[in-house]
Amino acid sequence: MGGILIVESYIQLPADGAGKKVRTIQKIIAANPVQIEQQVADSLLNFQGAYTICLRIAGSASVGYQFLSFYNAAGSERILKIKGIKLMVDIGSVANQVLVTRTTSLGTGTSETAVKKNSAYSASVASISSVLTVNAALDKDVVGIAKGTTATLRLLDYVNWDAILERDQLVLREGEGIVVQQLSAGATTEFLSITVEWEEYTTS
Amino acid sequence: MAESYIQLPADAAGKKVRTIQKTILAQTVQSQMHVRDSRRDILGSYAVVTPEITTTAVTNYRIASIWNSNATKKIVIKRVIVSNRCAAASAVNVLQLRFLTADVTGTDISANIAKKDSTDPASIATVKRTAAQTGTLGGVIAAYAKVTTASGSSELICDYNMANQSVEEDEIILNQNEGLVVTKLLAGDVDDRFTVTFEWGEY
Repeated sequence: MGGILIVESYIQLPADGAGKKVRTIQKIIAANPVQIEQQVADSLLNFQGAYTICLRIAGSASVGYQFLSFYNAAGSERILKIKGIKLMVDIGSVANQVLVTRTTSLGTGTSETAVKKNSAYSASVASISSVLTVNAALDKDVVGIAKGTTATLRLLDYVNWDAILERDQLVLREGEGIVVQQLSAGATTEFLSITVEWEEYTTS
Repeated sequence: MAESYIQLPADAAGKKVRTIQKTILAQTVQSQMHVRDSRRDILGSYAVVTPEITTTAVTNYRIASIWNSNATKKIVIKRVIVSNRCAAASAVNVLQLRFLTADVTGTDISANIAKKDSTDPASIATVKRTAAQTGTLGGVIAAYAKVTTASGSSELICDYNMANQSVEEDEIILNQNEGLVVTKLLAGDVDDRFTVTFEWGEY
């Protein structure tokens, strides 16, 4: 049984008109000059900005300790999409499970400021707290990773910006957020480096 | 290869196609913007994380699974992340992602399924863990080494990411009465603590 036969071909358009010009690359294929259209990838929603935050946060002996709370407050008029989360431990000593969990509130802690990936972007609407003293209200877990006693270890590069379909990315609407938390008691001598990268869009 | 263009007829009065305008080699040209669509009518996207899973020392132990019993919806697997920590010195092992042709009878954790977008409908998937040797195994999709053995050590065993496939036909599809399971091939021992994350879409 043979394979699928692919034949190089082309569609020949009417002669150029007098209107706007669609950018192409021209190649010579089988002695024919052919045009390949150049395109730019767009987002499903109206893009407002791309942001990141990277923090090195001390651990805690508390069960369910929340290292970082990231939240899209009601009234922000933006939708957030998580593009990537990186988790790295240093001076680690206690075995645990590290979880990224959806939340319905912002935890109380040290207020942190988002970093714009381009200074021309508008300010991020994300509310970010670290070293939480009052935990955010938990919803469901979305990512989990085992953490051993190893002193320094990359736990996970949760990359999502290469998802071909935006539907595969985590969406935070108004009144929704995520936390990075530990399942069991850790140690105050440990540090978890957390990077969160995201984009923001208008809701209409 | 040469920079070029196609010149259209003059703009008409109909709908407008979004473009980016640039001036290339003294020519004002338009590059059309596009949004990637799915060949499928995706109705929702989901994720679930297991608690830490302790297994018994038997071959082909079913660590965690996702099953489709729905007659009208299909599941497309987007990602499987498996990690482990050794609660004590633990043997090396081989972990496999396999199809299931009959569901396991482990602990049902479907109530833990998270929507990736809160506006999505509820998931139809059944997710179970800690299922010993129940269910019927199908073909092996992929295999990964569990390398670390020292007490306290941990590792990311696999990040089977299919969400970045440029051709959607490469993704794993679960039709009705089909599933996917994470198994350990060798008996190993009881000192591993596995964490599994499944991500999928439904259409």
